[in-house]
Amino acid sequence: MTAAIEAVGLGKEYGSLWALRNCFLSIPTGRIVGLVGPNGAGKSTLLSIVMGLTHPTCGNAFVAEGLRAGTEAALAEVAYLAQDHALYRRFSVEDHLSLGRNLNPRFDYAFARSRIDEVGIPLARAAGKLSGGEQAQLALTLALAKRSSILLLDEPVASLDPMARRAFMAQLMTTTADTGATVMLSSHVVSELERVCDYLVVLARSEVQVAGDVDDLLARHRRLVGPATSTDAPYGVEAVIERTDTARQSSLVALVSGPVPDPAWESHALSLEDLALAYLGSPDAACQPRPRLTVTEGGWT
Amino acid sequence: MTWLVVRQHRGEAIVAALALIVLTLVVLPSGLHLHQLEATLRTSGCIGTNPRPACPATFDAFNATSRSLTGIVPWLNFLPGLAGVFIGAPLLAREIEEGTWRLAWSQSVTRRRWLRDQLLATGVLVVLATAVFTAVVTWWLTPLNHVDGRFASNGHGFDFYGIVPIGWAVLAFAIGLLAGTLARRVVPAMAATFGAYLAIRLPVEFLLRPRYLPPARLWGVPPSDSQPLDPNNWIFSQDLVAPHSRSILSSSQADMVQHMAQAGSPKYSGQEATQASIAHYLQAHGYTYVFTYQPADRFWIFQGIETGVCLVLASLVIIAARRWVLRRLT
Repeated sequence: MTAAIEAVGLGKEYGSLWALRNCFLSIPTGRIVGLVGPNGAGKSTLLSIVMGLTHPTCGNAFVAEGLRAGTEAALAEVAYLAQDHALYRRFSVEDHLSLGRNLNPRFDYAFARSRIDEVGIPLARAAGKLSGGEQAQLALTLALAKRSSILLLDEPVASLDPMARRAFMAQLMTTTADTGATVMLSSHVVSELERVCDYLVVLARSEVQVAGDVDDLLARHRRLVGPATSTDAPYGVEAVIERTDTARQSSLVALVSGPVPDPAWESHALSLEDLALAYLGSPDAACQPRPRLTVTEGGWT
Repeated sequence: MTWLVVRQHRGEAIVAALALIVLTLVVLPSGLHLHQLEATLRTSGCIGTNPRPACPATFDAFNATSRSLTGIVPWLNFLPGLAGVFIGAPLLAREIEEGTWRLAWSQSVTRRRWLRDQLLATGVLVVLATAVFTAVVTWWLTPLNHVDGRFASNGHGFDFYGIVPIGWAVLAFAIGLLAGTLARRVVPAMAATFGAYLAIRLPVEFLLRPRYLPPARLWGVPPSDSQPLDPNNWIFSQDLVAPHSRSILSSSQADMVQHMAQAGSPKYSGQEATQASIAHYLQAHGYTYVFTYQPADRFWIFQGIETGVCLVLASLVIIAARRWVLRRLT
């Protein structure tokens, strides 16, 4: 295994409801992964399992090339930003930095201090008295200063206003670009992730619907506009994800195996948002590398 | 982890210390007064192995002071329960309620180690605070225990002596931990902890404690002025036994015999029957008494048994809470 994040048959059942099931993922090191899906699709559960906060009902999650999630070695390799920012309300900002320093072997205290100064948060203030934006910045600072090779962010900008969202994402990207960390961030708003991701995972109804490299996915999907008369898809189309028919023309979002030669059909490139929305609109469609079985000397793995 | 547990629990430690200081200041005046009265009683030979019969004035003062205390003392039994309510219950419930467990457990410290260090720190706090509490109350009640006996006869010796309070505080703490894990919110966890503490404490104190060992029996002649058993024994009952048999009279039968004794007393003519005259009558007619009691030398055995019961229960509860935290919490 040479993956930063690997999920093998992962599932989590709460009561009789599966929050996540049948999840296979293999995310290469250094990617910025967008995890999208409607609310309740299992995004938080997946991130929580990879962090080691949640025990999967079945399957296994591995990080940093084969460390089992939740073990001591794995914990040091993964940083996590919770959706609600999870800060101790009575702890001061400085207390939180001390917490990071005392509980993490590689914690970069100097970086954390300078970043807090940069953002302009008073060190002595209790975390409960910070604004939503300041809390988000403090929580992100703690996660970044952990200096782990994997960074998991659960809806990092959901609580921020639109201006702060853009600034937050920009800062996140400049900081992680330097370290080469693998980043996985979830959102139910696809447009937020479009500019930053180079890997996409779409979760729907507790299962992985799409997983793959963004360039690869965009190359294999086209918007095809053609005559409304034909009910069939043109030659070269592997699967139709979404179909919109008007009186004059049909518009398809399709998975293609190559160029579509039919002159009756116009082929356009898709944006990542269009692609994700097309899949989210038709939950039965799927596009992901099939789980691989590899034979090693020890047998099946 | 040391930094974190100190930062998280220093507030509780300060509050516990302040509460103990306040308690000490509150009991100091009456405690000093009681110690002084006891010393007077002792030097005048009113208490001890052979108490002199007439020591009225000092004893009255002592009894007045001690009677005002015996109303308060049983309430102090709730205090070990507070270790569960204020330290045990919030330990995990607050982390879960405020979502901070996500921050705590996403650092480089495993959940197992986090829990171990949290339990160690708060456990030491609970044991230390209870030990100081026990020392203060034991000092306060020592004169009462010397006069009335410390072994449960008036219900305030055993509970605030030796190791039993620590056993109860640790059990309450364990209950709080489990309640917090299951309830996931601080206030319901606190309420559940207090309820569960009482639900265990009251039956143990009133039903189990007298039966840790089968009680001893002492057969004897009707008592006159001096009791055959000193107050350090835990005396359950003193029953009248019919002549030439070993059957204990029912209370109505005993009343009747007492009445007959009063009526048949040679000194009855016009004046009150004395204890001695009743005893004389009963003795003459072949009645005897039987005392059912726990001997004074079982005090530390009972302390050990009750503490053991508490600690075994506490261990089971902590193991259950730990399993829940490590495997099932999320």
